[in-house]
Amino acid sequence: MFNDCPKKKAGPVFILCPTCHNKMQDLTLLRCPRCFAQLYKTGCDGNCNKCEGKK
Amino acid sequence: MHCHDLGIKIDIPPEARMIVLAGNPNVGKSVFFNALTGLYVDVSNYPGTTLEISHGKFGPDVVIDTPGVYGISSFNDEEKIARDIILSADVVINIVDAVHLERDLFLTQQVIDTGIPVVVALNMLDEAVRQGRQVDVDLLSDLLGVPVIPTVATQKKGIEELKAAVSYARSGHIDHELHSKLHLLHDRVGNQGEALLILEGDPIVAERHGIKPGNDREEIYLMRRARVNDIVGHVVRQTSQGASMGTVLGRLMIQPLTGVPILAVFLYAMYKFIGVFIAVDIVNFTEKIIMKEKYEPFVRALVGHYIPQKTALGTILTGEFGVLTMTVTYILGLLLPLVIGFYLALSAFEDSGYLPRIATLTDRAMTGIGLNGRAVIPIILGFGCVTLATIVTRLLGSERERRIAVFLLGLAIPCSAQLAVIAGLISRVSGAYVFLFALTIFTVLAVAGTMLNRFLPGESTDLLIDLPPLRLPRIENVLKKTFTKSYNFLAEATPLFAVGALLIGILQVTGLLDVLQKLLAPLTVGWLGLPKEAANAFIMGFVRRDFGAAGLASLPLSEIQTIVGLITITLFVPCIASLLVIFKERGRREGLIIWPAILSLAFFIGGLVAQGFRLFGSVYAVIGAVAVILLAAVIIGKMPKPGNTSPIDQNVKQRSSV
Repeated sequence: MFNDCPKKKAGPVFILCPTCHNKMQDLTLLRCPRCFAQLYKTGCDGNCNKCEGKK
Repeated sequence: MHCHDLGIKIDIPPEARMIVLAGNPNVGKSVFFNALTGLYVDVSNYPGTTLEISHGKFGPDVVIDTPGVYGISSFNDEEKIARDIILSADVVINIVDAVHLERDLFLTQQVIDTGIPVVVALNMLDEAVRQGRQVDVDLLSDLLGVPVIPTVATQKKGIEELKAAVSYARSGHIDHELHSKLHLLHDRVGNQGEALLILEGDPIVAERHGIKPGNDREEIYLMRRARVNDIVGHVVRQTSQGASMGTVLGRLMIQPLTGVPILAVFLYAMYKFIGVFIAVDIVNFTEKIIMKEKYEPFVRALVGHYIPQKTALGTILTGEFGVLTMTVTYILGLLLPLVIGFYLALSAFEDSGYLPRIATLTDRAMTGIGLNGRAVIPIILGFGCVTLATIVTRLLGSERERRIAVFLLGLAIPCSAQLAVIAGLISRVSGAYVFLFALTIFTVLAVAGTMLNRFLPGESTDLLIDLPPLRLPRIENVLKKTFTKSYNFLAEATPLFAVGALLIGILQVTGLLDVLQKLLAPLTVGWLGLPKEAANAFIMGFVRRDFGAAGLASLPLSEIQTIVGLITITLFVPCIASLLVIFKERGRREGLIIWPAILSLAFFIGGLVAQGFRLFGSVYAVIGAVAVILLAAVIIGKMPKPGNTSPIDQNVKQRSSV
């Protein structure tokens, strides 16, 4: 689990499900466990090697 | 009894049960509500919201409808209302969409975890059958631990059985670990449902009991998701019985035995449309008749009034590789019709739902070279224009995959301009030599991809793709996508082609083009076994790939020389515009690695084939050697990478749409 962006670029990094608004901190999830929608990441723009959400 | 707890006024007689309808959005709850309550319905407004709650009588009991929700929580007003009403229920009738079982059973399991007696109405079963999904209703009931009644509410099927089942609603099966945690909290809270929500971190419910909300929500959700996926895996079976033709065809398209022949048919149709109709008939008209015979003489005459053509500036602007002549002819006369043709075909595949199925079908082959099925899109486009395909690699899921795809596109994918000339040259040689050419290019693709996959750090992404239902493509959508994508490509690529032509023009007027040809001559003669004039063809290939192949066509070559020349020119660096795009997409550092690597490999492999023929004296021996290399690449590709661990992904990789 990752609470803060290690590069301090974006503050708390989380995934927000676009369908049911479930908030998740496990950035490796591909689908929302609650409503099974595909997930988007918010709070950072990716492309950094500092956390598992780097993609 | 309950009306004040909920904050809304509902009269519930003392002996009556409170029966709550719950379910995801758009599962058809209102149909069930009407079936249970008839015409006598009241509506109450939930305080502080614009939401209205419907309630009515079902015999002696009261039925209350709830807003469609994905779960019970405090995320939004609908879920807060659903939470409060469900927690007060005596029985919950949970409506579940059989087509979207993976999605809907999460709420079912969450309600079961509250300990409230549940009956599940498994609705839209007819639609599930049409989509080729058979649900084992009895097994589902066993695994959930609650009655499950199959229904088709719109046809009133199963409604009477559901009404009867309300009497034997029961609490279902709860995960052991969760049950232990609930048990500990239940004594303090007095209500299992509220204890569950406190564990899941609901701040409002926690505050009611003066307890700090838990922080196990994500863990509980993931555990519940794993349980639901497991149940669905057991109860749902894919079948063709009763399935629509579209569903059956869609399934055949992704299975290798049937999918590959179907793909071959579509690719052949695509080749006929783009490779013959557009590349020959249309381009003949646009490039030769309109651009070369009308436009270029006009521009040369116009510019010639002000800048003599024999001067350096005149040569750069309107010479053989002129920015105003060759570039414009190439873009409007050759590239534009081809790009439109390719995007028309791809947009039709996409709108019909076939493109994600091609990606699924080719995914396994792609993983061997460090890509996934999504990479089939830039690869198909690469056969049109490598510049275009390199830009499209942006849609791949990771930097690693983009890096691999860009390298392979630059190395081993011939563009349509090149393919047309290759086809002409290939017709001069016998079948064995043609086979050697195709096998060598394929082997280079496989070996390069395998090596990149093994040695580049990191992991490529899995293919996670929705397979929409198959349908005939809609003309309006296809045309809109084609126009937008073609326009965007030309807007981005035209300046690059112009800069490329400018660079070549400068090389030409400074005499450096001739110097490069002389420098290459020893390599082409000694290593490749070709006449020294072949060096000109390679330099021309740098300007435009079809120029390179056409340059070879004018030389007197033996069969093996033709094939060696073709292999080298196919693997040779992409045209200068593609090179500029590689630098733009991958950065200067990577571009400076990719470019000489491709250049070296092209000459190395072409020379290997030439030397192999010199050594063995037989084209069949060379074919055998290449086949052995291909086999070795496939075996190495299948071997696990050192230090490879399973991905963390806790979700099942799904291949059907939700």
